[in-house]
Amino acid sequence: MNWAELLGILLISTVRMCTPITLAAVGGVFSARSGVMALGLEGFMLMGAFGAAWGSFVSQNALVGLLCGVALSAFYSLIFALLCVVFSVNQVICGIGMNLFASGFTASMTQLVWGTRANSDIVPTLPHLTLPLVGDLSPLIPLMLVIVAASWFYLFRTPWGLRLRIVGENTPAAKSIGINAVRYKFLGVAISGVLCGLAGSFLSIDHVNRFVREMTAGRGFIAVAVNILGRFNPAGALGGGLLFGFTDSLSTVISSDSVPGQLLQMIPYAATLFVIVFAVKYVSAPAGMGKPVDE
Amino acid sequence: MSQVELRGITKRFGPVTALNQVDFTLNDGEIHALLGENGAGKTTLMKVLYGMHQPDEGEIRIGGQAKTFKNSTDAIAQGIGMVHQHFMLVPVLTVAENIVAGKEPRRGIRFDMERAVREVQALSEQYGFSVDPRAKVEQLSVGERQRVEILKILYKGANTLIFDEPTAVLTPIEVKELFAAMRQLKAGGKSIIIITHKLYEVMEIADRITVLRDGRLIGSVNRGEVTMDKLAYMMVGRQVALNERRPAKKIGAPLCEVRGLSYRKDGADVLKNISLTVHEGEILGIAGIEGNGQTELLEALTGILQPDSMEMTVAGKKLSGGARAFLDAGVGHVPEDRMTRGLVLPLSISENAVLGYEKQEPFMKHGVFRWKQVRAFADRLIEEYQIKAPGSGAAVGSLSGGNQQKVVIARVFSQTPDFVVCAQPTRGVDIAASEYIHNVMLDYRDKGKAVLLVSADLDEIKALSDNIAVLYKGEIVAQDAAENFDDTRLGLLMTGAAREREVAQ
Repeated sequence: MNWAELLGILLISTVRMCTPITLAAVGGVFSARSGVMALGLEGFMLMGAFGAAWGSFVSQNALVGLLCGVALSAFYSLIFALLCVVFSVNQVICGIGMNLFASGFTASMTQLVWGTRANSDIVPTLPHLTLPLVGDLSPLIPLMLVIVAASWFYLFRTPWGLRLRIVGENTPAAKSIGINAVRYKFLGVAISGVLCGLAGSFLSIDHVNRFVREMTAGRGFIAVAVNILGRFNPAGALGGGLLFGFTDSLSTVISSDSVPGQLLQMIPYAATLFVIVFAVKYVSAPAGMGKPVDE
Repeated sequence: MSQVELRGITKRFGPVTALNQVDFTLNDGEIHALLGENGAGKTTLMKVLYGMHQPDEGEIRIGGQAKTFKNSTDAIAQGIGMVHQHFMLVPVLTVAENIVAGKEPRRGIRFDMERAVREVQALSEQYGFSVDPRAKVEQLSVGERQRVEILKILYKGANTLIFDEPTAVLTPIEVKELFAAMRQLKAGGKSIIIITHKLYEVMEIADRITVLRDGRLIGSVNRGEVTMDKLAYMMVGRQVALNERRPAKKIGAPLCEVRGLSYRKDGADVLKNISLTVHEGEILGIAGIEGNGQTELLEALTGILQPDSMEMTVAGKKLSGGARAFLDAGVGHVPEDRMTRGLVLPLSISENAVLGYEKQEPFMKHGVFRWKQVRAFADRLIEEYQIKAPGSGAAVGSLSGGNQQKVVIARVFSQTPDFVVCAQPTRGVDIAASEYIHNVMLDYRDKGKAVLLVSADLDEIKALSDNIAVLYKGEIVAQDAAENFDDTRLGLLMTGAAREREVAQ
């Protein structure tokens, strides 16, 4: 095969695969920066993926599906915020619970709606843009880039971003200067819900055309790792997302004649493990992460 | 004209009345000390003024007008600011960001960092504080962080500054700097309230003093009209012996000897060839500014730290090994910080009462705890050491600072070690409990045991010690009988301006 061609495919595939991971990771940035541990990303994404497929199936309109995916994931994240912020539930346990519930809920609903637990029927997918040079392109990819830039600007260049970060670092300090900490934490988690909804929708009504049981396949957890690797910064999340998108696309691009497919499929997860083992200890998380609101 | 007035404030928490009909008046441009024991209601009263608590009865008047504060934002709007005891700062952000947060200068929808830096610079120059607005708070010393806290409330336009126990975390030099800053603020027309239980601070800085006891107002007096003894009486409600000396009647044979203690860390000498002898019936005080090797000295003498060289004997036995071996050999340890090393706060008083001694009979037999004995022992300590606690099953963390410290003291002294290393025995402890702890130490000494006292409180060192050794940059630069030291001599030695060679023994 032509090397240039292969490289081009690899590049496009990398960008495509990085999109859901980056979106979820940027969502995780908002959650973590407001001081709520972003462990439920996998569950939020799964809810988003299911919601999008369902909406698209019922209305036969992919845009309605996208709205449904985002709405379901956002609603689900608000439950998480309610438990963690208002009721001070342990955030690790709550995050794990959110992931487990999402897995069971989406499987059962798939059974109810389509009569099988494995996957949904084929649903309409999002219309793609056609650009010169790049060709066929999902509208969520440029949207993702805009979101990364806007998120960075919001967090590091506006007064509200500063306040959100203060809430995440030291909630009592934020309260002492009259910042409504609960509101900022809800905002942080809700944004993570919306962005995970977009990420999940990308999987079910853009990347493929149906919901498949457990279709997030750990991407939400990878996003947690990317979030840390990217130092809780949207730009870093994009960088980390690209790295994982690349590892993810290797398995789809390289033909599995020479290398066993299982090894290739293993790469993203092995990379996650490496990140956790070697990079995480050099990154300090927001100091108030995981702490309840009341002093 | 009275600027801030609190009239007939009553505040209840459930069945407990924290404040009972308290009046408080702060005049314009004065430094007003709010004095009282821990739990007297000082902080509660100020939290009422700062809008963090709402009073059940009474009213707040600012400039003659009644106000209601729903939260601290309302109080800030009325020009009231609070420097909290535990700083409300974000270490990873810059000084400027910390100061302007909540009232950020903006350019459009953007946060205007340049203007923030300029404004903070101007403000800090106005009050003679030198802080770099672009520095990260995590790089600053405790004293500098406190200045950032002060600037933070000045930036919000505060005219009345409340300081909650501001000196608790400061070194003696930083305390001097803080007091200088307070005088500067006063000269700039600000009014200041300082919450404290330290009498000598009150006498140094305050113009007027209001004393609270058990949630009641005892009285407001001008500084010129009172003495420390009078204030102590108002605070505690009975005569207290303030730093009254009780020298040893008889100092016996050497009980603990330390020779050639040296320790290097990261290529620098932390402890240099230290030799100390503590005799039977002697309290040896270590004077020195914090950070001159006290912590390492304590750790070496209790086996927590393995120094590069040290020979230590207690009652003729040579010590070696780790902390466990030192404990078993009869070295008692009252750690510097009861929160981190002295106690396990979430555990009960019973469990804390046997920490370090838990394997001994009768607390444990054949590797199994005998809770009945442990509880009985804890009950006895509570009784004997007058620890105010609901019972031996209560979590130590639920007690007041003074009673927590009494648990540590009770645990150590009840095991009758030959030699006790006592570090900061009354830090953050109120007067009555301090007095009690001092008596325990003196009585123990009179039984013919040896005590080594390390304290940042020079008055405590002077009051308790029979002999004083001065530690400067990891060296003992002088040692003499306590009565031969005066403040000037100690001050020169502690700051390294003088050194005496009478060390060799």
